Amino acid sequence: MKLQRLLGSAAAIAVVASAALIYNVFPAHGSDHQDAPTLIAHPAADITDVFVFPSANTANVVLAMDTHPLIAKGAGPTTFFDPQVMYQLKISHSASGIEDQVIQFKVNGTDQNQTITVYGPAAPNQTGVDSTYLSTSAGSVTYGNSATLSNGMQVFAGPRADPFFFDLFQFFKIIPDRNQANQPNPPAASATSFNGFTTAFNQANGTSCSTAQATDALSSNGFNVLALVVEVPKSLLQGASSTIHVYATTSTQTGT
Amino acid sequence: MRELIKSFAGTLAAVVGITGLVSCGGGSSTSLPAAPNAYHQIERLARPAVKELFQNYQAHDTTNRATPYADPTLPGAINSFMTGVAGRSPAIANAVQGVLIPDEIAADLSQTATTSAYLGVETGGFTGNKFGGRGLLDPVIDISLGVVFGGFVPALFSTIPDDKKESPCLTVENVPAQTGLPSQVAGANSQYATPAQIGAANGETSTFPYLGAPH
Repeated sequence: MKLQRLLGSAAAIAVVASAALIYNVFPAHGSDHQDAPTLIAHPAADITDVFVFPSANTANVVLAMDTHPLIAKGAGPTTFFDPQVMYQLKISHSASGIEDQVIQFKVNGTDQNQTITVYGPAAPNQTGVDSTYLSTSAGSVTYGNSATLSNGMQVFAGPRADPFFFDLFQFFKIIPDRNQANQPNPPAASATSFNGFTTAFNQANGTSCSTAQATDALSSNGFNVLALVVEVPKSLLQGASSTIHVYATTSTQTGT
Repeated sequence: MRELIKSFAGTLAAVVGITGLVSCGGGSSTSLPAAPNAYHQIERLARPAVKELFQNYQAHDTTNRATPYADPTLPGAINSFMTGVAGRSPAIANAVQGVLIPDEIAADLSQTATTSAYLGVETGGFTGNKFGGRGLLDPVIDISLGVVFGGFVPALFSTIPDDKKESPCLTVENVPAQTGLPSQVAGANSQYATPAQIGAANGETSTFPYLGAPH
């Protein structure tokens, strides 16, 4: 699909081919990158990270979910959300974790003209693993842009630099099972230490931890993600407790 | 540094009293039968690297299709990884499971902190403040490693004895070098000295949408 869309441009083809190559060469699931076969086959539904942090505006809180791991350097603006995928942030107001509110993103279109309609925060039609879109939306945003919706919520949907950092390849040496490329028969561990330790540390602790430089796999390789970011007035997230419990999901009608 | 941790122990005990050792078996949610036009969950995520660290790769799909509050496999995976691969005591394993289940990111919106602090709600502020949540530059992996392979749990929970089974070479990954955590290595040999340097490398900003423009 992606290649067909870009057949008119040899340069664009090169970018996509490069992206596909890197996606395979760097079989990485850092925070949650490429964590199951269903998602490797469907990267637009693969959630890489979830964030919840304060805004400079103390009346607001920021929620974000990143999707589509390992978009190669330069390929962000030509990678799009999947209209067959329902993207959701789910919010519980109790220690039970059962969602009291949801924020839903419905994607329309398949290219750079796609729009993302946003529903909520509001009570879901039903809790649990099956979901339907709410009946009333707060507005929409166009791909790659920000918008302020009718409920006062700011939203962004589009490509961003992947913010996750981790010496992922050293981790895979320590626990090879976690590398999807090693499935179904992962090799034995080839390292027992993370990198970056000092001689002084080893002397003080009687250890022989690795002193090679620790490096971040994602920023070093210029990887990107597709981000859904909302800045929400706290007044929209009122519940029984001031503490919210947040998780993100992707869903499809086929379940594949 | 250890005294610093100890000072939070009382708060932690209170937190554990509320959230500790949450049993989370195969119980069903309150969901209704799926509507004909329903979308079926195929992926789920909250705290970073929980599935990746604790759960065998082949088990991820089951967790991805379950709710955080009725996950049939993740609670047991945390416990068995802690006592097996990590070699920790059952008491420490139970504490970690209790804090991490249900797997959701907690944030206290009544707190006035201007920054996030991953696991701050669950640890009574030990990781920085009681807002909790998770920010772009929170050292989430180093915090997790300190819990799993380091001395964070026995230092925080006065009722849980130190099992003396820490793995120093796995307690911190040194990206970046300086995190403010007790487990960090002074003078670490790292590509980035500080979290801010990573933020700069990724073009992050202090204004919406915060994440940097694509590379």
